Amino acid sequence: MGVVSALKKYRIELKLEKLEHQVARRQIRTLEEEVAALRRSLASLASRRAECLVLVDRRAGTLLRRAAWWLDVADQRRALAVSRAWLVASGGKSRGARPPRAKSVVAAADAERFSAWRRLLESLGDLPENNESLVVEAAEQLSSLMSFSDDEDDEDEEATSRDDEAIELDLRRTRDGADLDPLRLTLRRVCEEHPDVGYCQGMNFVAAFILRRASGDVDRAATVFSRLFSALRLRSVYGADMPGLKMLLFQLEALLALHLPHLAAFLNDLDLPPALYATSWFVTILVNFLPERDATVAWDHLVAVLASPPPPWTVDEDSNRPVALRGWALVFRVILLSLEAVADDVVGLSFDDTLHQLQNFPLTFKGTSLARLLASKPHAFEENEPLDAQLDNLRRDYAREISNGRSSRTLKPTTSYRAAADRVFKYSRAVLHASISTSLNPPPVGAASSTTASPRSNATNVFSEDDLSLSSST
Amino acid sequence: MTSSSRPFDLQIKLLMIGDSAVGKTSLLLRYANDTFSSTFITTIGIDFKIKTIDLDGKRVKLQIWDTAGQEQFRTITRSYFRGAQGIVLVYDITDRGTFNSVRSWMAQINDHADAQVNRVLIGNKADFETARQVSTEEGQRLADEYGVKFFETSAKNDVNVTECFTTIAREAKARIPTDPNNNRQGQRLNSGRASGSKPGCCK
Repeated sequence: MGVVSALKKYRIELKLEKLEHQVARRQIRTLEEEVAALRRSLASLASRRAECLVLVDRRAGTLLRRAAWWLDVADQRRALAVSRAWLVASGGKSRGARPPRAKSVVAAADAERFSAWRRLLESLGDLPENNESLVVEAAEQLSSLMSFSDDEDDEDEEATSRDDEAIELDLRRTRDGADLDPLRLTLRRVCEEHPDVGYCQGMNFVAAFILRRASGDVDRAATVFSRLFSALRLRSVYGADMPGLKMLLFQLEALLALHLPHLAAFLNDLDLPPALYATSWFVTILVNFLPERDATVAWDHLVAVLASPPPPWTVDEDSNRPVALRGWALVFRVILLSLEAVADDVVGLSFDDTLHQLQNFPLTFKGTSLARLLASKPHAFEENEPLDAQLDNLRRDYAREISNGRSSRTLKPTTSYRAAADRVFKYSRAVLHASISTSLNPPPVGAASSTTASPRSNATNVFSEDDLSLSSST
Repeated sequence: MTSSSRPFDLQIKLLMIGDSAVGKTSLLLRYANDTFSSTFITTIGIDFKIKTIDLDGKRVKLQIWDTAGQEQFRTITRSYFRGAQGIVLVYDITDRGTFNSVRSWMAQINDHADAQVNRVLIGNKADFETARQVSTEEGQRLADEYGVKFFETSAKNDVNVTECFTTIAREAKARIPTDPNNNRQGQRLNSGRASGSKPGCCK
């Protein structure tokens, strides 16, 4: 009797769950339709160039910044051409299939590619300083003054020597040929330029990777790393307590739930949060995530994204989105594409094997290549909203969760698929509503920023924006 | 991959902690794979290995987690503490700084690991006698103070490595009731999150 009723109960529960799912799906569909409709009306607005210029003009400094970007367009074109040529030269196929003289082609292309990387990233540094970055800088200074530390008496020199020691310990453990000097010098240089951050493990792999592209040229490798440092706001990833890394892990969990729900649900069942497998993906900026060749392709795109201006027809909300977000969006794009390629192989494995797979990525991309996947746009997970916008929304989410008293140390965003989907759609709706209403009734110049930002930024006040400075403008 | 599919009676989660470059990964790889290289790559975040052993008549699967030693990563690694049943705390006998950090690591265990977690203190690189900066007696004294077992090991020469892992596994095993249903698959390192039975997983 007990068994029968238990079975009955189970059946009812199952049915209930199914119904709940249907309801949720219907809700999502309605939201999707709503967003699509909003998007259409927005597109018709945005296509009018005059309107767009007014929008751009409203933000003091934006236009100026954009002009600086446009000057570099020729450079970017060249870099993209180099990137494409390189992809063709190296075949874009499996490693074994290279033509015999590919090595020299690749070496030559490497030199050319690196010079493109360097020039593009250097152009970033020449952007006119804007107020926002000054404010951020000041906030950082202030927070460092306010924070307590046992080593308060430490001299700069002591910190430097500690960095040098840590670097020394990792040189051999980077697995990068016999000559350790270039790596040592590059890392020291980067650390000297960011003394408040210092050396963080993982930087060794990034520096070695850049050095290999730079044919061992320390000066240039260090410059490229430093530019990347500021462009991607690596300070908050490598710095004390790694707030930026924690946010990236949060964002990854939420994006997985949204775009690869099958895999996300499976990982969730195993209780396998991104902190357990994705830390090095972010800390090494994909270098330890992908085979060298694919990492290089990913970096081509990364550099191009970081250095290219947003399209001129983007609305206010987009143009104000910092360059770092677009860079990280590219990183996430690569990660999502890769996970998508292996998801079917991973789901169903044991806890041990799953983790093993995720930590030792056997990337085959199922007959295609990362280069091709990255070139074919848009990807399914960006059809409704570009990744940088999704990341921006999640960043606000994260800031709010932290300011609501959830400890940032737990690293456990409890984002079920449904909740995440719901939230992202809600946000995109709010964002679109806001941008449409502002473009229809342009507010007075000074009020523009507060009107669009206030509904969401209130919650973040308690929590220092600087902790999430991935998003702060460079 | 092969070892994980073999049947076992009990699974034990071990966590390796200690300063950067004291040899955590080397110890683990010596134990799990019986290999040694002076140039294992830096561990970023966390890594893990499986080893199934026979322990007093039971098949015991050890799931050993290897963590990044650098200060920055502590904020990330301490989220792995909870759910670990044994902790292997490693310092380098040729580097006094790493020995001095032992107290702070013990404090971390206190703050973030389960209360009854078993611990063992390891002084690694015992093969490098000429560079020794921490005497065996000092190590032993500190271990006694915390009431934990102490070993000096050499991952390079394979001295005491198996002993230290077997010891911590045996201590943990004595504490954990053998319940195969409870230890089948998908062990939770972050058990606070999985069961929901533990209130408040954040401090």
